[in-house]
Amino acid sequence: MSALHIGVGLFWVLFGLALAQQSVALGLSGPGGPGSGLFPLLAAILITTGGLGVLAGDLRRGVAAGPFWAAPGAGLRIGLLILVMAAMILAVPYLGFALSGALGLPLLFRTLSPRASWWLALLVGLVAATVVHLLFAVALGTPLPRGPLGF
Amino acid sequence: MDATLVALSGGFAAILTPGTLYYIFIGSLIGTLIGVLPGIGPLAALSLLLPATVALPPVAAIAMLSAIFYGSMYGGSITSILVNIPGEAASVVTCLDGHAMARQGRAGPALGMAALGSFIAGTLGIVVLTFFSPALSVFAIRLGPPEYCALMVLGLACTILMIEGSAFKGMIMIGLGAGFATQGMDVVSGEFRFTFNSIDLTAGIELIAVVIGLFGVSEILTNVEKSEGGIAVKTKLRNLWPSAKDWAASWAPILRGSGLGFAVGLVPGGGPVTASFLSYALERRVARDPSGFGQGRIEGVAGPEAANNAAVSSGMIPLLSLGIPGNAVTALLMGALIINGVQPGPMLIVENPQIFWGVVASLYVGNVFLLILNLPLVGLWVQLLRVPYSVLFPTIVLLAMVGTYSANRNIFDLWVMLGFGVLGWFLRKLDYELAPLVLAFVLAPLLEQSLRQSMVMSADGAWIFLARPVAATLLGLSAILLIFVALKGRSANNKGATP
Repeated sequence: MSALHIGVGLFWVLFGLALAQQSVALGLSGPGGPGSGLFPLLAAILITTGGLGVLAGDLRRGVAAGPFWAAPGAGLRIGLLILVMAAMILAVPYLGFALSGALGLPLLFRTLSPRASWWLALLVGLVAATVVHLLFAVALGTPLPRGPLGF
Repeated sequence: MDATLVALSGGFAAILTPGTLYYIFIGSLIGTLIGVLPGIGPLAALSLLLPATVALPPVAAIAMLSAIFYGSMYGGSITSILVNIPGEAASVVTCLDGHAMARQGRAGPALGMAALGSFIAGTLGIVVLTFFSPALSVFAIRLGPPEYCALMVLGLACTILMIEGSAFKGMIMIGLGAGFATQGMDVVSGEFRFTFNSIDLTAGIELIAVVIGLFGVSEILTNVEKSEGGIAVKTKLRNLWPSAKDWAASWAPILRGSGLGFAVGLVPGGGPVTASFLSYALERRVARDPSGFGQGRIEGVAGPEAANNAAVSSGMIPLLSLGIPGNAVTALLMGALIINGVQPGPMLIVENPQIFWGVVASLYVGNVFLLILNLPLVGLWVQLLRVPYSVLFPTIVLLAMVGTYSANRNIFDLWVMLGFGVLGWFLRKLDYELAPLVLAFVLAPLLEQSLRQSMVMSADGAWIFLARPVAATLLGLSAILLIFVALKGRSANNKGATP
């Protein structure tokens, strides 16, 4: 964790410097007054200064090394959650929200309740997808991508 | 004063329609629900429901979102008192004495006083807002771009001051928010900034995707990481109405909490959380015998609960009068107004009085709805604590996705939401506060615009900020605040704490 904190501090400094370089390239002033790069440069200065402060503090005091994950199996749960969400986003244009939800939510449910049955997971996915679909597509009339089943 | 009352009655006339009342009711209901459920804060709730308000008229949208915020403050106290888990951050201190009262079999009076104290303080706050906001708007109309620019700088400086952790981390978050806000086409020069040849980025990053990612998705990731289960509640409730003795002990803390909360809510960067902590500290200080605090003193419930609701009311003043949000929640409300084509600021009361007064009137009505919802339905809210997270979180994930998509109907926004969700979760793990990022993201376009206008107005470049007394004073105050933050950080360093 200590190396991570220092690495993140260093990242902010480098990111701020890169942003500053790009901002200068955009131009700080033009014929009509301040250029497009002036404001991003101010943001870059804040990030770099903040990064230097964080880095200096971490290097001077040291950061108490603790476990990165809050609980056992947390890495797997987080990884699965992000993966399922990414898969659902990829599937939405082809399957629509309702079907992507009905397929993806049982996986999320099982990730959070590994001992629950798949039948319950499927039921939760189906009910949640139906409720969200009814709320947005039917009640609020939001045009959502449709899947092969027409919803 | 008469003119204000006439205008306010016009606001009531605008909102006392079945449609708007329905949305205020729904907002109060959802807000209380969110407040009751630990792990889902008001910011997550507001961000998730922001897309649903896009199609609503501006008054109904803001009234609903404000009611969600108010409701979460009310609802948070229920969980704090009954199960010693704060439903949201502003209810943390309510746990101390509220739960102690519940353990002594006095959960009813604790819940009753929390609801009544919140109602009294919220209403007092709105009364002051009603008369103070228009006066502030009249003053603010005289301000030019340099003063506005300096005022926003002061707001961001106050935000750094109010950050609980490292001020340097706060600076990074503000820089990051401002940086993200500049992505896309520069509306003045037509130049593309940081778009990396992506067509999706030419219009910039969508606010809704950012806030749903940062507050909705990251909150789910944080909770999933901890793997918290559902909560079973077995408390029996009876006799919610506080006794005469309870009232005698509570009226002064409610008034003190109202005043303190109102003042804290006005300060940019302040808000309900700070207000409730300060109120608890104040009650301990003024008590003849502070030793009973933490063991079931009703003053420890009444004061903080009043303070956090008063802070919510006064937080609306800078937003409605100056167009400057003081915290992340009001930044979201400002985003909602802008999405609805309404620019908050001093001209709002002149150009759109029906919206300004409609929003003010809706706050009164929302407070009444919340009192009605809180006391009789407290048993129902407790039942909601039984919903397991394994059901709740997947549903919220889908809600977040559909909500993000519906704002712009662009799949790219879903990737932005996921990206900001992971970023927010990671930053939270490293003790970075996310509110300054959102505040800067919302303020940056206005700040850049006023900075540019000021520079164009000036023959001497940045000297215009020092040549104009109000701007110079505001910038001077900002500098003093930043020096104070630096000194505070240095003294914390010397004690071995995080600056």
